Amino acid sequence: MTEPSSGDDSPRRPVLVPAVGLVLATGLGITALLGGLNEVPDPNPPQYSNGQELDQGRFKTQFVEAREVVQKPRFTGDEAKRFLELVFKVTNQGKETARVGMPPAKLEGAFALSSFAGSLVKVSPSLKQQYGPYAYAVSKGVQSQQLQPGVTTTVIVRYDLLGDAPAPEKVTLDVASFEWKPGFNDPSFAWQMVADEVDDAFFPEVKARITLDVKGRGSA
Amino acid sequence: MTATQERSAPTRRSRRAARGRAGSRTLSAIAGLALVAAAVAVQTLGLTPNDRGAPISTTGSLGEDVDTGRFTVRVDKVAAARTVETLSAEPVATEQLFVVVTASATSAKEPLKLGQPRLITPDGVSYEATDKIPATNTLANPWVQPGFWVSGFFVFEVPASAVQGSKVAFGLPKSALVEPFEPEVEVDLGLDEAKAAQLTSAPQDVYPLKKS
Amino acid sequence: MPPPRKPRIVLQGLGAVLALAVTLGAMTYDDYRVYRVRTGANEITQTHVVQPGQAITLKHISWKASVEAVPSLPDGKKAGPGTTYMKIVITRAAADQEGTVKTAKPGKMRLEDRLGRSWAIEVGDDAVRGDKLEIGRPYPITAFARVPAAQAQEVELVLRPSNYRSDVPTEKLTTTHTDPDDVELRFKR
Repeated sequence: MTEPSSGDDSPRRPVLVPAVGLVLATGLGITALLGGLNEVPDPNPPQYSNGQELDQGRFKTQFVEAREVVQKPRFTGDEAKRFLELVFKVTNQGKETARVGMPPAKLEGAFALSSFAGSLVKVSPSLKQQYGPYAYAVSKGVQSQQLQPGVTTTVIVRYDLLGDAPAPEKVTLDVASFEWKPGFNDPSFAWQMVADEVDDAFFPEVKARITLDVKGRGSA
Repeated sequence: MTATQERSAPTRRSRRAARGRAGSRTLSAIAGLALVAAAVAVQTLGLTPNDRGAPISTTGSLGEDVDTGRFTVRVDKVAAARTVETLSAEPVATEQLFVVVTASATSAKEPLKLGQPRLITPDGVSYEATDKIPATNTLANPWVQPGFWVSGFFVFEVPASAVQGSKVAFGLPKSALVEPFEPEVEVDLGLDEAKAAQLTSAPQDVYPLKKS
Repeated sequence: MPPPRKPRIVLQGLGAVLALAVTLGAMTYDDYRVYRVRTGANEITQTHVVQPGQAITLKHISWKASVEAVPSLPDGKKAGPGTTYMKIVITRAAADQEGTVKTAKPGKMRLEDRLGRSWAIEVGDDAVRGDKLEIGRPYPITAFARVPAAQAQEVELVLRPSNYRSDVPTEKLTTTHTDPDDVELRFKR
């Protein structure tokens, strides 16, 4: 049994810990420089069109159609009103009643919404509105703001077409999705819109881009 | 040689000490693991964040006065219908099923209003009372006050499959400032298989809401 | 020299118990405060008692009130079994220039019995039109409530004057300091 002649008196230098630390720190630095571990938002989300179905987490949504609707005037002398209607068949996949809600006016802050129409984060072309848009669920001619769990309901998002402005030929919707998870500063679980953080602000992640051909004039 | 022996003696001692330390370290590790396991086990008993501050339910059954201390609710009757006629005589139809609950309420000390209740299935699926019937037509409209009862309706729109074994939870109206441990009344509608089948297979064509 | 282990374990145990107590205590206290705020129990209140038929002048407004049982509501509706409708007339008048801008209805109005139980009051009509009171002119509020018949002779009107001033522009409503909202009037019968 030979003993090393030197190095026994002085304790061995602990090199492993600082070395691992250095490697980790460098790794972290490089990762941070490259933009962190966040998933890069997909610039080309999957494309959907008329009749297709999308799983949004909280909702399963079929994009039925976009149509121009002319409402006959109720009184003679009034002008006919024209609308662009987006028609969906929405199934609430959650365990509690959800709201139809409204499409967000701006992308900022839209991530905080948990309603169905709240997930229609961008509708283009953007149509000038006086009072609209309106969104509602409808069955047997009765309107509602509720989407009951496990039930498939027709939802209509209706935009005013002001003056003689023609209805667009196509409408493109950026649609977000939801996840059942704890909130940002609230540990309780709730349906939260899937969002990405960009420069300290949250923006909804576009789950799918839906392009709908606008069907010609009907009347309601 | 002597020098080596002199040096090796303390080394052996320190090795023995090290062995002792290793033993206690193993013990500590086992104890630590046990504590971690215990902590995890206790954690599963804990409330989920969603349960914390959740309403405190007082439970009861059909026809029973269920008293939370702040208010009392009694479910008098349960019916099913395809169409409900509102107080303004407007028919409201559904593709699902309307469950019409007739209930009465009184308060212990202060006037208060009830919120729209929820119908909850045995699987925990919860249906808010429908907004297709205006809230002014429901028992959420009148003041619930001490010393006398007020009666009225609540209407739920549910699939027929949600009826069996369902309960209704009555609470205070929603507010921006959420009160922790709010009082809540949970009434088992007593709909066993036979009664549920009876309700869902033969709903009334038109259920008129009438002021009592 | 072995470290003094036992006292440390005791100390750590005590620390753990204390930490638990502080945490639970803080959470409970927070919940309790939310409950107090939500139920209005947190309002600071100074109660002024007004003798039957008397008026009281407080914060530039003179108050008078009457409470009486009535057989039915103006539309002929009768109260349900065991209950009575009460008619409440609250008359307020501006006592001076300052009072002429205090046009709002009382913030909180209740009928209360001796046990402290209370009943809601619904306003039928308020004589105030516009945003200015004439000094000295009485403005009645006519209101109704439903109480158990047994309490009809005993319930007293409790109201909380509003600190709203009509001369504060809407956009400054939240930033302007008005009188503190801290008084209640109890009208004896």
